[in-house]
Amino acid sequence: MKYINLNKWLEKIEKSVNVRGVINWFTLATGFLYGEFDDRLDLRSALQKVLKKPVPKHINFWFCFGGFTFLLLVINIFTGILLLMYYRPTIDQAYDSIVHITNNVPFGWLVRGFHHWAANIMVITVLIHMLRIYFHGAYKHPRDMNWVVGVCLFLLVLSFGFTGYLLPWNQVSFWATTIGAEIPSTFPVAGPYITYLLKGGDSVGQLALTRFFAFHVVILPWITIGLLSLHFLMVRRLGISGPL
Amino acid sequence: MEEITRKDFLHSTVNTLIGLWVTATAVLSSYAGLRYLWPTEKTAGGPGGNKASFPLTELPEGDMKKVLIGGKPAGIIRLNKDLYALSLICTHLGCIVSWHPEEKRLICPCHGGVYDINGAVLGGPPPRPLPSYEVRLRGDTVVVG
Ligand code: HEM
Ligand code: FES
Repeated sequence: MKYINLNKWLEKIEKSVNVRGVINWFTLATGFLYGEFDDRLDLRSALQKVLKKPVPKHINFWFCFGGFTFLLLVINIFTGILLLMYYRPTIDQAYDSIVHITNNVPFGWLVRGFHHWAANIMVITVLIHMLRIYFHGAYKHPRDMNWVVGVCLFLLVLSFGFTGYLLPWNQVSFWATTIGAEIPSTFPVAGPYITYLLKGGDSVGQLALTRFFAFHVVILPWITIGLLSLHFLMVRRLGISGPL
Repeated sequence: MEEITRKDFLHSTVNTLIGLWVTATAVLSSYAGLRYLWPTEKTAGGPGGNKASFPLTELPEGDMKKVLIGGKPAGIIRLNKDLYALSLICTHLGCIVSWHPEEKRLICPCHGGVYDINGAVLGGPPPRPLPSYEVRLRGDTVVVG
């Protein structure tokens, strides 16, 4: 099969596009849709009720870190789904598919870079967010439940990092996971069993990779989305805590 | 003509800049996203991608031609009427080695690994020889893999 030459198509489109026409159609279509929906659902007043909430006077830069963390999470969900288009979770192919993404796929290095850096920066922003809550005393009643949900979210961010780190299946992945899985082995009684379960056997192998992958791309994201909804609902219901 | 106040002017300038910025970001990221997803010769190379061929005229005596086999770089060298096909990925840490016609050697730019024309290690840190590929001349066409 011949490969379809994208650039040739883009050139053709470039030549035939009439910018003003595109904008007109765009406004017509959105205006048309919005009007139809607004007519039936009274979107305007619904949106006003939700969006027209004044920001309290005492809000400053430190109140933004929860939002930063959320933005980074959205970036990672997006770039993570893009990585899934090429990543292969088997011990034979995982490393090769990562090298392939980085070297052969157009902009693959960028997608992977975003995923990597957002993952790492997210740990910092979530920690600053927690420090803000701590020093403002914002964890007190009636927001104590939200602190608990927040701690779970923090652990989820770390779990994302731990499970994602194994996926490239290189030396660092393998040994980091081995060490991580060995840590619980010193717990009394249950320790060795936890380690055995985490490693998926006596040493980290295909079973561990498959399960870490399942956790990283399906289980953790959905738990996070659920807890995050709770987190935001509670913030909305209780309002942001007052000035110091 | 209606007066434009300084405040209005600044407002609409800032709004326009934000609008342009958002549009540029949207256009550029859709472009990168489309390129990322679009199958290319390198990314869609299925089972048939493990071979490469080109006319012999593209490879002058003493030179090397780079091709992709299964998405990985390989070099075809023509020397004294013989053809040699080697993987170009250094067995040390994976840099791409280059052909030095004067010395008739492949030398790695990263840590100076040296290979002979059959891929055997002559010096430097590489632990293993370069893997070689089968290469034939079919009429006037060089077929690799
Ligand atoms: C809180 C969110 C997330 C964090 C902190 C995170 C973290 C990581 C880390 C540290 C890696 C290793 C990357 C590398 O070394 O280059 C990784 C890889 C990966 N992640 Fe995530 N991730 C997150 C969300 C997601 C989501 C939502 C998906 C998909 C639905 C996903 C899919 C992948 C895939 C396919 C890889 C392997 C590719 C690679 O290693 O570059 N991730 N992740
Ligand atoms: S990568 Fe070639 S000598 Fe080190």
